[in-house]
Amino acid sequence: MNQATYRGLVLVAVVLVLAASFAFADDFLADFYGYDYWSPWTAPSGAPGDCYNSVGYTPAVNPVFLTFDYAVNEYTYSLQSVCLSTVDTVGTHVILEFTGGTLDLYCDPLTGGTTADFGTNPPNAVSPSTFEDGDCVLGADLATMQIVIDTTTGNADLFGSLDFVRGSQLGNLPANQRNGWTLAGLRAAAPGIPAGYSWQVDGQLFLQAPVPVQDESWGSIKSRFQGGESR
Amino acid sequence: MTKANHFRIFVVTCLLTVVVAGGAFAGVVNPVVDFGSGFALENGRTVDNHVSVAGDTLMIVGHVVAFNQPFDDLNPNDPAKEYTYVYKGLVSLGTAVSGSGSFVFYDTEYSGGTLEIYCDTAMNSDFAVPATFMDGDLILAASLSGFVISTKSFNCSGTQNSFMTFTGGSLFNRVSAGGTGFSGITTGLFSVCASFVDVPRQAEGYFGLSDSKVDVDISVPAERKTWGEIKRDSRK
Repeated sequence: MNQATYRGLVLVAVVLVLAASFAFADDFLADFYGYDYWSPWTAPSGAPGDCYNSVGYTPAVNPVFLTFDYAVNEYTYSLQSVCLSTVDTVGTHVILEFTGGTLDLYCDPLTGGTTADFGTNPPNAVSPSTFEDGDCVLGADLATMQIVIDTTTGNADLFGSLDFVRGSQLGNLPANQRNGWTLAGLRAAAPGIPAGYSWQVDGQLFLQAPVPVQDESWGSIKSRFQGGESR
Repeated sequence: MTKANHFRIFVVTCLLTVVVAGGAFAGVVNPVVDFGSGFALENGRTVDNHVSVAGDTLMIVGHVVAFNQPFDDLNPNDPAKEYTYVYKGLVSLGTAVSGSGSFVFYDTEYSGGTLEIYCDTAMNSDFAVPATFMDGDLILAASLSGFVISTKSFNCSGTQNSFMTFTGGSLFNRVSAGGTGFSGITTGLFSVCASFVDVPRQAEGYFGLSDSKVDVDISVPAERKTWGEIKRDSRK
């Protein structure tokens, strides 16, 4: 092993030790609720290539990253074209894996804008279009998404990873935090689901926490590696 | 059956339809209340622990982030008030574990429990002191049943679901008829992953993230009336 390789290994080891020594959590970005639907959909139970979509409202955000004024604007989200790739069954659970898709947050004036409307049997004349009008505040491409269905209850949950790549407030997100996660609970047996929608959706968006770093001199790193310092 | 009885059944059917159409449900938009990030406490349970000990008691506290009809006159962003919620008194029945290997599922049922929503002009809520989410004006109270939290080993998402019936609060009249509270569900997201529970909350003893809402069942409005009242109403 040459000296450069050795030093590289030491640095990697030190960075891993430092990262492990800090407790951190991902940063809350936004809260959302709405309904979902499939389009296209292969009756009766779906098939790879069918796509999952969801529209609804964004009632709260982290003001550190996003500036929303609920007194004058309506804030909505639209999750589109997340397409089913595989279906697996584990006991009484069904695991759906998806590829592709986008998630965008929109701002539309309460006065002069178009009020969001779910309508029925989406896509339709008002949905998703009334959830996608106005200014795209923040938009992401989905990297992965998984829905797990409990067939004994019909309840499900959603978990996805995404990369924020567009939007008028993208610049508010630190460059090293432009990827993150979406989590949501899904429920089919819920009152008031508009005709043609599948589950009600309630979830959140998170930005991945930056890896913590600590400035140290090369001498102190060498000293620690050689047992000269204990913590 | 006589023609008179047929007529009476027809009249009753029509009147019940009118009662349904004219009742408070005409003004319900779900979710009637949406909760923001809430955090869960349970007898010292810590993050990343999917298993609840039978007999332990769950509490979740947080803030309201949206109101819809019949509460759309309330502003969760009112700078002079805070709207908070608490799920409490939920007694664990233990965690059922299923699956194996990379795919393990955890379902925890709880008995009892209540949901309360407060409006507080003191604006003193502090996660370090859960009681600060239970002060001010109790605007809504509900009893819970069938409360279940489901999580899994292979991703950080999960669910929280319960049936509920409104029982009181200063705005109870908006979700009740004839003194009987409407029923519905609370439903949403639950995670025990450390990466989704704020570090300060973990230090304060919280083990889980909750994000839920309240949906009122709009299919079962009813109003008790005597046959005499129905006949009298029909002649008006």
